[in-house]
Amino acid sequence: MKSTILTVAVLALLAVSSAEAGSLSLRLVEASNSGGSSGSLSDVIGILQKTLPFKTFTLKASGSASLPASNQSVSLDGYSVICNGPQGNLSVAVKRRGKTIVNTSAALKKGKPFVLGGLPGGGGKSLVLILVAH
Amino acid sequence: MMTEKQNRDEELISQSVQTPAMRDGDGFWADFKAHASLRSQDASVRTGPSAFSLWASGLATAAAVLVAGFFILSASSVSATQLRFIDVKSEHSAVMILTSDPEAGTVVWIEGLNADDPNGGSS
Repeated sequence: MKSTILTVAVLALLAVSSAEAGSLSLRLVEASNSGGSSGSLSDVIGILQKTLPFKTFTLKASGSASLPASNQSVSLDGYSVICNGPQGNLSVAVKRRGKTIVNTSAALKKGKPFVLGGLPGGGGKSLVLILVAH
Repeated sequence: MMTEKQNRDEELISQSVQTPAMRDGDGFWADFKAHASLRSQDASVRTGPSAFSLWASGLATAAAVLVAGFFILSASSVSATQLRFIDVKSEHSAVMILTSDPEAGTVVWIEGLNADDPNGGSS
């Protein structure tokens, strides 16, 4: 009886820990109103086109980090994104040329994107940072 | 000349029962009191809950807690990604926060961000 209870407890702990652990995908995307959108954005193109005043989105750079993150830095086309913390309370610092320009934190749900837009890109275009927990 | 429908209506009207006359208020209350006096009005005698009702209420409470817990857990598992905090260190004009229901995502748009602001940012 005791071993059964112990086994159930261990399984429950494993389930909880596996639910928390995971990975984070980061994508830096250029927003514009010309050309076609990148196929690698198929999972987020709906929310981008619906909420932002741009028609096309082009992937400029991508990276990944493990969750929970421990001050992991991901370089994305001139930007550095530093991630820290668990999926439910992830801190994100966006840096450019060594200076932090945005500090933010979010409670991420698996497969539900967190989009940070309005970052300046080349040629006056806007960049969008997309974070998705998996 | 009367139509068939009019004939039927006349027939139904002739068969209708006369509505009772409106009662006065005093008569109504006299009847009410007479009926009320037939019942015991002694509220001091109370019976305690039976063992069955205790068990039933306990089971109902436990079921309610389980159902509520299930709904809370299921709701939290499908809830959206949510912004907790944002601090824009460089010059900007506005921050807009949008959520999209079907995708359960959150979009933050920083308008007029000057990433090269010499006075902004932090090392």
